[in-house]
Amino acid sequence: MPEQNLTDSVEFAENPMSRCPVVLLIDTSGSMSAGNRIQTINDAMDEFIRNVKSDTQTSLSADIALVTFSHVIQTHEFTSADSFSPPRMTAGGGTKIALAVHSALDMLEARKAEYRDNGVSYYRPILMLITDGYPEHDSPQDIAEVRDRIMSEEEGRSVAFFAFGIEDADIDRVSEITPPNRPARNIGDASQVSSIFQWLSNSIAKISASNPGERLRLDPIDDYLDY
Amino acid sequence: MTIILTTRSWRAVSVSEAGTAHIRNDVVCQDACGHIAGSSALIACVADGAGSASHSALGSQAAVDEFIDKSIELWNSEMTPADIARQAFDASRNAIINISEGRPRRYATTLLGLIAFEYGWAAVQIGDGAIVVDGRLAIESSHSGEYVNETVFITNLDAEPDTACGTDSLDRVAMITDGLEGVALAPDESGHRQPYDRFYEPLYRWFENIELADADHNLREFLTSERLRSRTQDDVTLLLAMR
Repeated sequence: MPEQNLTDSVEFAENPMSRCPVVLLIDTSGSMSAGNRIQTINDAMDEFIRNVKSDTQTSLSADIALVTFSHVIQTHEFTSADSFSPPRMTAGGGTKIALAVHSALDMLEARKAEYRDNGVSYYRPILMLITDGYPEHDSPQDIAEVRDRIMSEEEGRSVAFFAFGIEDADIDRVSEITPPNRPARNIGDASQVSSIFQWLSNSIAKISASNPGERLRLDPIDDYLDY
Repeated sequence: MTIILTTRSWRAVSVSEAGTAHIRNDVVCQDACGHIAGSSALIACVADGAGSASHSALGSQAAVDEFIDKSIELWNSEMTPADIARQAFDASRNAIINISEGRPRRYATTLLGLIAFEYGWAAVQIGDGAIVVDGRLAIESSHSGEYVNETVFITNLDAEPDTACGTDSLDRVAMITDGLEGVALAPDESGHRQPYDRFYEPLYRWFENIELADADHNLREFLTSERLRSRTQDDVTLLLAMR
């Protein structure tokens, strides 16, 4: 009896690539027009996209959304790295963080539902905030409400929230909405933003290349910051 | 009146092979599997030790061994397959706790088990991987964690396993750990992962015709083939049973 060649006759299913969803939450309030803050962030974001696109697996895995906030919120829906091209950000107006964070979390929830409807598996999403100010236009109630939401999402491991303050950001106030195990960090000069985006692109690369069942540890952010 | 019962015997083969990622990092295969194929009954079990747990290869093997031993022990009792499967699961969990010297998480492993009698079957599962019975998933939506790189382990002591049972008399069973999920499962129209028939059909056809003595070797060749290794670097386990 001829032996069937298993290696050739068994067919393999095609499955979509596991996605790594990332939401960038960028402060575009008036203070960000000082010096070259907003330009630095625009340049850092361009470089971030170039880095993500430079590795095939990372490029296919990354799923990126952008929320900019002053006193108005602008959202840019999730796209792959190849299609990511939001307009260059300009700064002006007051700072309302709470609504921006809610928008970001709502977008993430909707995206996860889309993944599930299409049988796409995904990694734990990253939410990254960059601000130079403090939530001056958010009421204490808004802050409390968004803090509660962040806490419960972090506790349920629904998202990993990283918050960074630049220049004279009121980091204590920003920390009011971050989880206790990962408070907001002041990284100083706006030029450090490019280091943060480096950390982010490397983290996405690491996540998308990780082996199943392996505990994943992201690089410490300190490895990327200048002192 | 004479009643003649004819039973077809089960034939089974089960194989685990280390993934290239493990070989590269000098880590042993952390998957384990085992089966008992009898004239009227089948016991099948696979387990996938956690990548980051130092003793998970021992954990997965201990879990499989205990599941099978306990199932045999309870065989002639009056218990239903569902009760036997659940007790065997609990026995596996306790076995790991007993060998772990107070540190069960070092032995973290998933566990997938199936008992099939003439008059019914039962499946139990904690963690990722799949149990396929007559072409469909035994457990439709196992709670193996929201994220693709995370799963639940038998050593998560407050985690309950998923279970399923049926009174149909099964003909074909397959089990995989998550290393083969990407090639052996595919999403249907509503996004739910289902067994990919064109993966399993050729395997059943092959198994029907192969001498049992050669089955193990051929299956290992397949699981370590370049073609499969290009799709998955993880440990892989495949169990096939038919009658």
